Amino acid sequence: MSRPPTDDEFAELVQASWASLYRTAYLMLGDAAEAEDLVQTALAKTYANWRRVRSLEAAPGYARTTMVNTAASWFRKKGWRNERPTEFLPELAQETDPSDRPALLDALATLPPRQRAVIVLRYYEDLSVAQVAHALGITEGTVKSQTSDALTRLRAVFGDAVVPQGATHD
Amino acid sequence: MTERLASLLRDQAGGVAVPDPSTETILARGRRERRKRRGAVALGTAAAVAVVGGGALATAGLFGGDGEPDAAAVPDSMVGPVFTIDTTVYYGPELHTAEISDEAVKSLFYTSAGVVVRHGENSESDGGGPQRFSLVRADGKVERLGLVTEGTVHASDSDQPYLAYGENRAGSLEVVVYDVLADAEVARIPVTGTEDNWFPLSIDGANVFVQAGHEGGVHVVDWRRGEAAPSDVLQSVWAANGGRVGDYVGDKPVVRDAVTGEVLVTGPPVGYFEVSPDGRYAGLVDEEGSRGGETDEYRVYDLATGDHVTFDGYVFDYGWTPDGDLFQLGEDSVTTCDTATGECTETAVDLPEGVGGEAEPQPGDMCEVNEDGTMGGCHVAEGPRPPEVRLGGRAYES
Repeated sequence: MSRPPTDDEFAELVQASWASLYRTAYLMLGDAAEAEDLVQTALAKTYANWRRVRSLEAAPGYARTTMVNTAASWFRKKGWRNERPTEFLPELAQETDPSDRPALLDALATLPPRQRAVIVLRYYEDLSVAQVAHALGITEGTVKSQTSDALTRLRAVFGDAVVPQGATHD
Repeated sequence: MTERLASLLRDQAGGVAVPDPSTETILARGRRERRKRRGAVALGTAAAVAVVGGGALATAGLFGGDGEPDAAAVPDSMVGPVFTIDTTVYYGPELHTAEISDEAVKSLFYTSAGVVVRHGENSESDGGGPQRFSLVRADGKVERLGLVTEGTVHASDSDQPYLAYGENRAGSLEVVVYDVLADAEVARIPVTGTEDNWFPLSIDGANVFVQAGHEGGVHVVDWRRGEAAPSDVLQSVWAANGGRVGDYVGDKPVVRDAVTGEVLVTGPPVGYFEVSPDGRYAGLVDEEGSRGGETDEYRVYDLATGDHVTFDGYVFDYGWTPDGDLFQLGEDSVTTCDTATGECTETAVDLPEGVGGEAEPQPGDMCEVNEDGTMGGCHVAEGPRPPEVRLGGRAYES
């Protein structure tokens, strides 16, 4: 189908892809309102850019790529970096139970935004280093160093049982 | 070694409370975004932007240009369908061919020196690494140009040997005019301050019409005189050819005379006008029209008379010849349509398998999606794939 989607077709696309996109967005951003805005933005861009999408079948993948690209551009904006990152983990007397839901989200919240996105894309979306680099517009070397740094931080919270020494999943 | 972390992330994601989507809001945002890509900010805002290089253009309300349709100065042997299939360029009534030495073609530009091909490592228009250029001359000789850009929108004028583009240099939008015959930059004009890197534009005669990023408004640049000023009239910069420019009045697309600003044609409040390379015709691109399984159609106006003819098919499947006719590719055929009469002629041509079918090749940034909704990859799949087709006279940037 090369023509733009009908409103009904686009509504089906939104319904089918919304939850998956939102979960990824929420893990990357940690804020419900921002996650909703990010997913809306990605789907709106997908609609606006239909000439490049070309088919309903390809649209979910296009929307997901657009969402990550948009998040990456948000991270690069002035202010975002200053508002979001927590450079130092809280001092913890003992390792935290990662099965405690807020614990993992809290730990993710301590990571700088792009580092957090790298972790989500690599270990939740299961993307390769090259794919993460492509999606975020950074080098593979940066992905590896950001991954290593983030895993070190998470290991400090959850211990080797969750993040073993040397784990990079390259 | 990170299976436990991955498992925890999945568990956390599964517990996230997902709000219901508002399809109406997303559709509204999508329509605004599409409109924004084609039309700049509202009138008045642009006039407040500081003038760099002189304010004569704005205060006089001049658009410039000679007011006459271009004489289609593209070499005669190239005046006909021009398109690429993968890296092979087909051009002119005889459909001669030339080969581009690169991985993929991104888009085509008509100039008086011949057809300029933008190419690179993939067919992506708006990204995808370096954008390289080759000039295909009338005799089929291909010359690699020294110009290399990235993430840039380009434009050409079919009766000049120039490419134009905008770039952000140290926080300033600069319009660059590049001579493809001399293989050298011939003008660089500062326009206005900007934090953007997206500058759609068109070039027509001495003027470059450029949008200064997403919010910066339209500026008119007299590149020969080195002057630039915000436009107090134009909302759109995408289509300027032969002294005619596609624009908006309110929410209606129009085509203006580029000297007087007079509205020559007004369309219904949908889509936008694209102006033919010679400036004689304008096609109404209604991206929402005739959907839902009905027959697609493409309405083309004669700007001298205001009359229009209608062609069957989807607008983006048509290319423009340098002299203002339309063409499209089929399976082993090229159909050329006379925009004055609406008559179309199909010619049998031996084209590579896969051209003209429904299976369009996907841009390199199209991601594969797994059954669970996660992304499987962003690279072009290995193995046989449909040939990449690019049509002359058609913009692929967005």
